[in-house]
Amino acid sequence: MDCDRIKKGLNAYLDEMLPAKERAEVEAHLASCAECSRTLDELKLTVHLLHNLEEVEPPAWLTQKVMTRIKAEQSERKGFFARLYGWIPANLPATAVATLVIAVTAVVLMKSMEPQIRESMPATATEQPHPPAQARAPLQEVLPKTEMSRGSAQNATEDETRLKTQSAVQKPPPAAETIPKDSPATVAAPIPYENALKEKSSGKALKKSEGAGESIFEGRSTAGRENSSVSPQQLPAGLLQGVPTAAPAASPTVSPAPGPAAAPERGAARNRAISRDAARAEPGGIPAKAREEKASGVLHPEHQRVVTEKYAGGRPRVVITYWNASGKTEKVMEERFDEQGRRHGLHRSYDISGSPTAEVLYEHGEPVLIREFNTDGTLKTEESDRRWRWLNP
Amino acid sequence: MTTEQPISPDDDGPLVALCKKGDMDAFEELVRRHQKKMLNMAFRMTGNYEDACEVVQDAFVAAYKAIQQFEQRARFGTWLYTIVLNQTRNHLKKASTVSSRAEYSLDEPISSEEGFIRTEPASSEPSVLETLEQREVQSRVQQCISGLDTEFREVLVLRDVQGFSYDEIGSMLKLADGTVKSRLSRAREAIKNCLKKLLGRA
Repeated sequence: MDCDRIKKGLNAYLDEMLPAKERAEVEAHLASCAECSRTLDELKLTVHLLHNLEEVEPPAWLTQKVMTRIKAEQSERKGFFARLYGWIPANLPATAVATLVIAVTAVVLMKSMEPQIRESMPATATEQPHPPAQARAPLQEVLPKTEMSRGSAQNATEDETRLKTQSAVQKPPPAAETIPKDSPATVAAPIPYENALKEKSSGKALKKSEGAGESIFEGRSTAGRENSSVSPQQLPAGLLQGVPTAAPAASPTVSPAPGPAAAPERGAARNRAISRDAARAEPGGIPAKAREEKASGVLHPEHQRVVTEKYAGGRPRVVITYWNASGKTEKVMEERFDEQGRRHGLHRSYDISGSPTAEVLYEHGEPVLIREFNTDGTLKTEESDRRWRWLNP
Repeated sequence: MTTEQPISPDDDGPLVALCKKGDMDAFEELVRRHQKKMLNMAFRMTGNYEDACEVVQDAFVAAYKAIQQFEQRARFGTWLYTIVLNQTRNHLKKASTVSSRAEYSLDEPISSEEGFIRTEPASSEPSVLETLEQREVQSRVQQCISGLDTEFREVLVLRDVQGFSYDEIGSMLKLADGTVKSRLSRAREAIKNCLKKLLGRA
C-alpha cells in the first residue's frame, strides 16, 4: 500500500526534488522494501541510458545552408528601394530616415530628368505650354511592357521612380544606344556585376565541378531510379538550361550582364532585358536568353535560387542555390528531389572558391553515401551509410 | 558612430545585439555555436537525422526573422530551444498527417520485434560485441523515445537528454511545475517499460 505512494515520489527523489522530510521517508522505505528498491534501480538505469545517448554531429554544410536560406529570403524581399536605402543604419530615428529617403529620391529624380529638362528648356519658353506632358508621354508607352516583364508585386512608388529614370533613358525611342553614360539607370545595376564577371570565370568552375562530381555517381545514382526524370546524363544540360523562377522582384531594369559572346553595345541591353523577362514569363519553354546566359556560365546576380526542373505537381526537382556576395555569384548548394519532395539524387555544397565541400547521395530521402572534401578538393571522408554511425558512434 | 552594447546574461549578448542591427556574420556565429545542441534536441525529438537537419534550419531561419522580438533578459540558447521545439511540433504534425506514424501509447503494452538483443555469430573480439550491443541499445532507446507522444517526449528529452531543470522546462514549455513532474514521471515509466520489452531487461 505504502509502495504506491513511495513509487510516485521516486522520480522526484531521483532528481533530488523531494523536501528533506519526504526524502528521509522514502529512504527509510527503500531500505526495507526490495520491490521499491528494484523499481528505483530500473528508473536509474532508464535515466542513465537516456543521459548517455551519444550526441550527433551537425553536418558540415548546416551553417552555410542556414545562412544561404536567410540571404535568399532577404534578397527576395529586397527591392529597388532597399538597394537605394540599404546603407541607412537600422537604428536611425524614423524622421531622419524619412528625410534621407526624400532627399535621395529627389536627387535620383533630378538626375534622371536632367537631359530632358535641358532639352525641353527652350521649347518650354517659346512654344511648349505643358512640358511635363511631353516628358511623361514615353513613360506611358513603356509602362505596359515593363509591367508585364516584371510580373511581381512591388512598391508602386518604386515602380514610378524607376520608370521615371527609365523614361529619361528612353526619351528618344529609336536611339537607345545614346544612353548618357552618367545616367542613373546605367550606373545602377550592371556595372559591378560585369566587372565581377570579367575577373571571374565562375561558369567554367561551375561546369567543371559538376562534371567531376557527376562522373563519380553516374552509375550509382541511376540505379533503381528509372522513373526519375533527373538522370545524371541529363543533369549538366538541365543545369545549364534551367529557367530561373525564383528571381527576386527587384530585377534591375537594365539587363544582367550578357555572356562574353553577347557583350557588345549597352543600348541593346535594355531590350534584351525585356525580351528575356518576357521569355521568362513563357510557361513551358526555356527562355533563349536564360539559356544563353547559362551556357556561357553567366548568371544574373539576383538569381539566388534556380529551379532547373519542375515536377508537374509544382515541386522542384533540382534546386541550385547561388549567393551573390560583393558582386560575385557563387554556387553554394545543389539539391535534388523526387516526386514526393524527398531528397533524391546527389546533393552538394560548395565553398567560396566553387569546389565541393561535401556531397550526399540520397535515395528517396535516405542518405546512402556521404563524402566530405578537403579544401584542396581531395576526399576527406566517405561513408556509405552515416546514419548508422550517427546513431551508434 | 559609437554603439552601446546591451547588458546580457550570457555570452551571446553582444552577438545578438549585432544581429539586431543586421549583422549577418554575428548570426552565422550564433548558428555555429548552437547548431549542435539544437540538432541533438531535434534529432531526439524526430528520431531522424535528416528531419532534424530540416527542423534546425527552419528554426534558425525563424529565429533570424524574429530576432528583434528576442528580449535579452532571457538566454538566447533557451529562446532558440523554444523555437526548435515549435518547429519540431509543426514537423511532427505534418509528418503524422502525411503518413500515420505508429506511436506507442503510454497505456498500451508495447509490442517488441525481438525479445532480446540480437546475438551476432561468434566473434573473435568481445569488444566488437560490446560495441554492437552499445549501438543496439542506443538505437533501441531512441526507438522508445520516438514512440512517446510529443508532449511527453518533449519533457523527457529536455530533462533526461538535455539536462534542463524542472523550472527551465516549465518556462520553455509554459507548463506548471506539477505538469512537468507528472509528464516526466509518465514518460520515464513508459520508456522503462519499452526498454524492458525491447532489450529484455532494464
